[in-house]
Parts: sequence; C-alpha cells; structure tokens
Amino acid sequence: MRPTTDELIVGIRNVLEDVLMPELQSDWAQTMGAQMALMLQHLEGRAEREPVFLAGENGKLEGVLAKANDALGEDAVAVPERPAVETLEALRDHNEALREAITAAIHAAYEQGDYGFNDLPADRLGITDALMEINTEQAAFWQPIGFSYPGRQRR
Amino acid sequence: MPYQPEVRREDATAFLSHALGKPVQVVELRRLASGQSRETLVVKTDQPDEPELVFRIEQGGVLGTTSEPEFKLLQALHGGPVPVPRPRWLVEDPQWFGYPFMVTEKVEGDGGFGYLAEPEKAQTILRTYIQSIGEMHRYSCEELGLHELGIPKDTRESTLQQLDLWTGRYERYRYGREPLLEEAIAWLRRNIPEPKRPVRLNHGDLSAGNFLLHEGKIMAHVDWEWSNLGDPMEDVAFFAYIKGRMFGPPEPILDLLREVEAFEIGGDELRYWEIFNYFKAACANIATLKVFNEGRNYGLNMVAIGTGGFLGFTRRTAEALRTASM
Repeated sequence: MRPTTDELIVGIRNVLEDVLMPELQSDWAQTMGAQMALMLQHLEGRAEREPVFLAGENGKLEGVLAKANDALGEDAVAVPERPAVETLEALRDHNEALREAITAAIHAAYEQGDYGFNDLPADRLGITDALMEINTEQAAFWQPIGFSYPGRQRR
Repeated sequence: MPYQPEVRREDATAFLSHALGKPVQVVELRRLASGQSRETLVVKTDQPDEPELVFRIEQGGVLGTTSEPEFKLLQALHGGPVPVPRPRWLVEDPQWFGYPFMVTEKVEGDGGFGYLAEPEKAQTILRTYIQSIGEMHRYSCEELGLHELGIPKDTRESTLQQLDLWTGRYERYRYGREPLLEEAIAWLRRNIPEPKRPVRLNHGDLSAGNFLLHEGKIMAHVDWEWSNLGDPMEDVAFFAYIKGRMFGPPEPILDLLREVEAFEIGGDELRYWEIFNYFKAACANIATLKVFNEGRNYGLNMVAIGTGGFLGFTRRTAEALRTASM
C-alpha cells in the first residue's frame, strides 16, 4: 500500500523541517524539533531493520556464551533456548535471556579463582572483544539519534 | 510532561502566592536550556523585597535523583565557606508543577560556558574553578556543618554506599542486563581502595555550567544532586576524565588538581575512580529511558541520553577496565 510507512515518515520529517521548525521561537522548542527530526530519520526502515539486527546480535551473544562456557568447564551456565518462532517479541526475550546467562558466566568465572586488581573474568573467558563489538554495533543501530543535529538530510 | 511557558507562569504564580501568603505576580519566567535532570526556571516576581528565584523541578526520576538530599545539603552549606545558593522551599507535593521541586534564590553570576570558545579565558576560569574545588575538599565535614547528614566512618564505607546507590539505580532503570557493566560492578566491589584520607564533601558533578561566575570569582556551586560525603578522589577523577574534557585533556587538568589537593593523585586509586565515574555516568544515563518510556518525561533528549549516552559510557567503563588490567 502506498504511501508506505517510510514514505509517510519522510513526509512528516520534511514538513517538520521545512514548515514547522523555522517558526519555532524558543531554544527549547527548536532543540525538541531538531531531535524529533532525528527520531524520524531513525524510524525510517526500522521495522525491517530491527528483527534482522536482533537476530544477528542474538547469534553473537550465543557465540559469546558458548566461548564462556567452554572456558568455565564444569561451572558452565545454562544456555537459553532459542525461540521456536522468531517474532520481534521472542527475539527481544531471547536477547535478554542471553545477556542474563553471560552475566552469570562472568560471575561464575569470578567464583573460580583469585583475581587481582589487574585481572578480569571476561578477559579470562576470552569474551571481551566480542562484547565490545556488540556494544559498538548497538550504538550504530541507534544512529542518528545523538546529542547534536547534523542538519537537514533530506531523502 | 511538556514545558509550556504560560502554564508554568501560572503554576509559579499560584505556588508563590501560597508560599508567601499574599498575591504575587510573576513578571518574568525563563527556562534554562541547560540541565538534563531538572526543568530549571528563573522567576522574577513583582515583589520588591524578593530576589529572583530558581525553580528546579524534578522530571520523574531523570538521572535517578530526588530533590530532598540536595536541599538538605544546601541548607547545611549556606552561609559557610563553600558558596551555594540560599535554599528557600522544598516541595514534595506534585500539585504545583506535576513533580516535586525545590526553590533557591538566584545568585548573581553567569552559569553559561561561552568562554570555552576563548582558550585563554577558559584556562583562567579553569584555574579559578580548580582552586575552588581544592578549597571544597579541604574542609572537614564537621567544619561544613554536615554532621546531621550522616558522615560515613571512612572512605571504604562511603565508597560502598556510592556503589550501592548507583547499582540500585542501574537495577531500577535498566531493561536488559549489560554484561560489560555487570563485570564493572563486580570489579568495583572487589577493588575498593583502602581508606587513606578523611571523608570529604564531593560535589559529584563538577562541570562547566555547574558554577556561577561573576567578575572572575566563583559566586556559587550549583547542581548538587550527585553530591555525597566520600572519597574526594571521586570528584577529581570525575572532573578530569568526564566533564573537565570540555576544557582539555585529563593530564593537564590532573596536574592542576595536584597543585590544590592535599592528597596524592594517581596510581590504582585514580584508575579505580575513573572507572567508577564512567559506570556512574552510564547508570545515570540509563535512567532517562524508563522515564521517557513511561511517559513521565517525554523530552526527546531523554532518548539520546538513554541510548547513545548509556552505550558510550558503558564502552568507556569497559575500556578503562581493560587499561587497568594491562
């Protein structure tokens, strides 16, 4: 059906930027208008992007957990089951369960031995780099929402 | 809750008429655009004997703090050697502005930081500010009249209190778990520095914009909502590694702080407090998402802070932990 969701979002953003924002008087209103434009930019294509992103992140978290469990040996933590059907809600729940399990693995590593000031469980488990990469990809997913407005980027 | 100037003018008029016990007109009201955790309004009335007033209205838990501890601290500090605005009213009743709020008298001075665009001027102001930070940390809690606020017995106890406080906020406001932060929490609990110096007043959010300047003099320190009685290394690391970056890189700022602080700054302790402050900033930032999603504050800046800000400080926490472990 046309216009599509994205076409409507782009239309709303064009009106916001071309018609409404020039009329805004106060600093506060202008800041909110600019951030609203960023939100709309982020929303373009999100419906298609989010399930793919979450499925990809869940795959990476499963890899992190598998690596941590290998290192933990007999103290390995339970691995959450994958959802039978990958709805958005199920993917979100699975993501949360995986994050819980990885946290449990980090605590289990701490229980396994003595740690000094310069010693970290995620490093011993060999999962630090992968967790950092996941953090970076999350930050990229939330673009272009940020603290400054880059100016009009009309599609 | 949206900011609507005319509604706020009516709210302020109603409150001040009630508080002062006579009809009061608000002749000027402006919102300060800075400040994330409070809606801050400067209000001028038609009362010749009333100074301008500053209303700081909570925004449903943004950055995880309430007004009461800040108000009590201002009551204790006002009139002492650490300059603060005079506190007037603490109001928990949401009937006036929709949220609890506090009112202080406006202090003469400028809280803007346009001077950052002028490097030489900025360095002069930086030195003045750092001097005042050193003075703040020099006084004992008893000398500042803070005994009624409950002084921790040593910096180990106070650090544990701060950890509990920020971990509690993380637990209350997070959606999923963040393994990198969870590791940091465990590490911070295991590596609390041994007490080496007395408990001192920490501002908690030392920053350009959080002091008022007039003719080169600091007239007042403001925005005390993250203040605590604890290890002053917290303030040192917070300013050098987080907000002081507005002035320049950490090392020269640490050198200036070394000139004014009565304790040694460096080593594992400094690293500990660097990590602690990144963790604290991440916890503060995640609080904004929940208040936005629950409709308690729908300022869109809440989303930016709760996503980009949270992820950024989580990353910095993890990177600093790695540096500490090398």
